[in-house]
Amino acid sequence: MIKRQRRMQRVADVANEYLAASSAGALLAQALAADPNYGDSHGWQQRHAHQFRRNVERTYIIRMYAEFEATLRDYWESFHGRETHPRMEQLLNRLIPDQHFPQDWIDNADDVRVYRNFLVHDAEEEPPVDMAVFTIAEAKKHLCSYIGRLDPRWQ
Amino acid sequence: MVPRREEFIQDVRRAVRHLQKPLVAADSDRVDTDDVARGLHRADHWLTPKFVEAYAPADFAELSGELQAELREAVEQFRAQAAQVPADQPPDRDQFEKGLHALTRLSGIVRRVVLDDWARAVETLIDQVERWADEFGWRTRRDMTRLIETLLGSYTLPVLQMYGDGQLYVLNPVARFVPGALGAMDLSIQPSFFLASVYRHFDGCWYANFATGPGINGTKREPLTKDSLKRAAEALRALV
Repeated sequence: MIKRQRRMQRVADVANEYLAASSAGALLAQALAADPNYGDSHGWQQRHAHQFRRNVERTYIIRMYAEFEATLRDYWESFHGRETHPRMEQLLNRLIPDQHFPQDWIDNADDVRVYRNFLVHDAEEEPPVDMAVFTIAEAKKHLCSYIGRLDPRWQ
Repeated sequence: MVPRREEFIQDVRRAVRHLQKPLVAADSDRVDTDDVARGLHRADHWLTPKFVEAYAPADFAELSGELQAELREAVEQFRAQAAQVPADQPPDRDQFEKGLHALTRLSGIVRRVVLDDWARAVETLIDQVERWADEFGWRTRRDMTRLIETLLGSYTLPVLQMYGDGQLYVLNPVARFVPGALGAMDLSIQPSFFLASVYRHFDGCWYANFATGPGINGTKREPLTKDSLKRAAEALRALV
C-alpha cells in the first residue's frame, strides 16, 4: 500500500474507533442503569460516563484531525523537502494544494479544521451560526478526499 | 495573479458557499436546524458589496449583449441590496430576503456563464485529444461523468478513455474551481493511483503536469500538445 493510502487508512481507523467507542458508551449506559454506582469501583463517577458519551464524537473529531495534520506535515517535509513549520491554515489552503485539488475539497477540509479548532478552544459554547459542523463520517469523507489528492509518488 | 474576471467569479462562488455553509452538515446532532434557520437570517457574511467589487463589465465583453445586460443588472441589484445593510449590524428579515433573491439571481447568471465556458473548453480539449489518440493508433471511447461544485451545482461532462501501447489511459474532468487555474482534468493510467494533471491556465491554454522523477521537483509542466501528451503517457507508464 502506498503511503498516501496508509494515511487515509489511519483516518478511517479513527472513524471506526469512534464507532467502537459509541458502542462502548451504549453498553456503559446499560451497566449504569443496572448499577448506578458501577463506576465507583473503577475510580470514576456516573457524571463522567455522561460526559464521555456527550463528548465522544468531538473527541474523535479532534483525534481524526490530528492524523490529518500529521499527514500534511509529513508530506510537506518528506515530499516537498521543506523544513519549515507553517500554520495549518497556510499548509492546507495554499502550500500543499495545486491545480489538481478541487477547491471545494480544500474548502471542506478547511471547514473541518475550523470546527476542530472550535472544539479544542470553545467546546462549552454553541458553534457560531456561520460555522459548518461535522459528524465523524462527514469529517472522514472530507479529510480523506483531501489526502486522496496528495501525490501518489510520496514515499 | 488571478485575472479580475476570475476574481469576480471566485467572489460570487465564495458568497454562495457562505450562504450554504450552515446547511453543509445540518444532519449533525450538534446542530439545531431551527437555530441554523434563525442564524441564516442573521448571517451577513455573504450580503456585502465586497463580493462584487471586482466586477468590470469589460471583462465579459464576449457575452451576448443581452447576457451582459442581465449580468450588469444582477450585480447592481446585489450591490444595492448589500449597501442597505449597516456595516455594524446584521440584515433584518426584509433585507435578508431581498439579498438572498439578488444573490440567487446573480449566481444563476454567473453559473451559466462559467459552465458554458468550462463545458466548451472540456469538449474542445477532448475532441483534440481524441484526434491525437487516433493519430497514435490508440482506440478511444467516450463516457460521461457527473460533477458537483459550489456555484455550478450538479453537471455532466465527457470522459475520454484511450487504449494504446497496452495501457488504458483516462482523461477525466476534476473541477472547474481549482487553485491557480480555470479548471483541471486528470490523465490517469488504469489501474493505478498515478496521474498527470491537465489544467487550463488563466491564459485559456491547457498545460500538462507530469512526473519525470521523484519528489515535488521531479514534475514537469508543458503546454499540452500531441508530443507532450505522448510524453505524459510515457511518464505514467514508467510509474506502473
